[in-house]
Amino acid sequence: MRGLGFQRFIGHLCLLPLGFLIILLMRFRGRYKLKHHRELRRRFKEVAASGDPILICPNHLTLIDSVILLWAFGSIPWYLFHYRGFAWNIPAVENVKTKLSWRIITYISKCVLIDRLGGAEHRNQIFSIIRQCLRRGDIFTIFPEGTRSRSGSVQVDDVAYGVGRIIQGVPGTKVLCVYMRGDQQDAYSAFPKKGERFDISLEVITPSSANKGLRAVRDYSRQVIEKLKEMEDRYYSRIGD
Amino acid sequence: MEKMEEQQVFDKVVEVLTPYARDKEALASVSLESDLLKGLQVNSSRLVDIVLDFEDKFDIEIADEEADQVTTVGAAVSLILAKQA
Repeated sequence: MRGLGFQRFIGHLCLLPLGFLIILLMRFRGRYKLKHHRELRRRFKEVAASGDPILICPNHLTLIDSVILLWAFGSIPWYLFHYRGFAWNIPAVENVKTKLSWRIITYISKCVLIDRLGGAEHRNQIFSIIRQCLRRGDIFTIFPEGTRSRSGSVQVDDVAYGVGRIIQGVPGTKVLCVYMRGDQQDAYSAFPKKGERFDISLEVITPSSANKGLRAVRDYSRQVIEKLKEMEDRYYSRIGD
Repeated sequence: MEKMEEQQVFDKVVEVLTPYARDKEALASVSLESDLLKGLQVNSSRLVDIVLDFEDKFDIEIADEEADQVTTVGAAVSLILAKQA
């Protein structure tokens, strides 16, 4: 945890250049736009202000989903004074290990790297870090599908149970379910198309279960993924597809 | 529940694993040494489902820490036999 404290400190120090880099990538290189941006930030601030352990669980379609969400949820000045709101993230190590620059950027942007082929011990170590962070009030982003959706839509049966394990270890965790989709995003991809306009909806749930052990883990995970599926269905009925 | 022999447990374990194993060739030559993730290409997300299927099929309870030990077919068989002892 001391290592994470140092990482958090360095990340906070680097927030200004990192924040401008994010804005540069989002607004000028990607020319991305967000629908209802102001309302989105207001809603996120409201959720973050609750002080509860918060796990952000978005659907997953591109490699930069978590960066888009950081941009969507707060401005640089807001993150500067509410650094807790700049959520931790757990990208797969294979996506960043090849380039030193990526490793540096992930370090200063509060990322804990996970090896998806790592054994149970490695996974448990990562879950333990996340649970400790949540207990001390940090916000964490984890993609319940575990990887970008190969079908382009939320697959209830493909839920990774890591999210359930984390919730089980931190009773009372609030899950901020996030459904995000660009207007031109038909399937999964590395990056969104240039000029993409994102529709983002948020919903907070507190998963619960009458079961214990692994059955409870499964219940928590399913409640999260089913909520995302419900949000996806609402998205499609809203846009009339 | 009547105590089963190792071969019976092995057969039932393979039966449970069949829908989860993506490498059907590896499944055809499955042995006690077969690794669930790297050998049978089981999606790691499905390990919890597999352990819960073992609980239902063999009428046993498996703790979280014990579930982490189920990395090979042999480990699953040993754990189930130990639970039935």
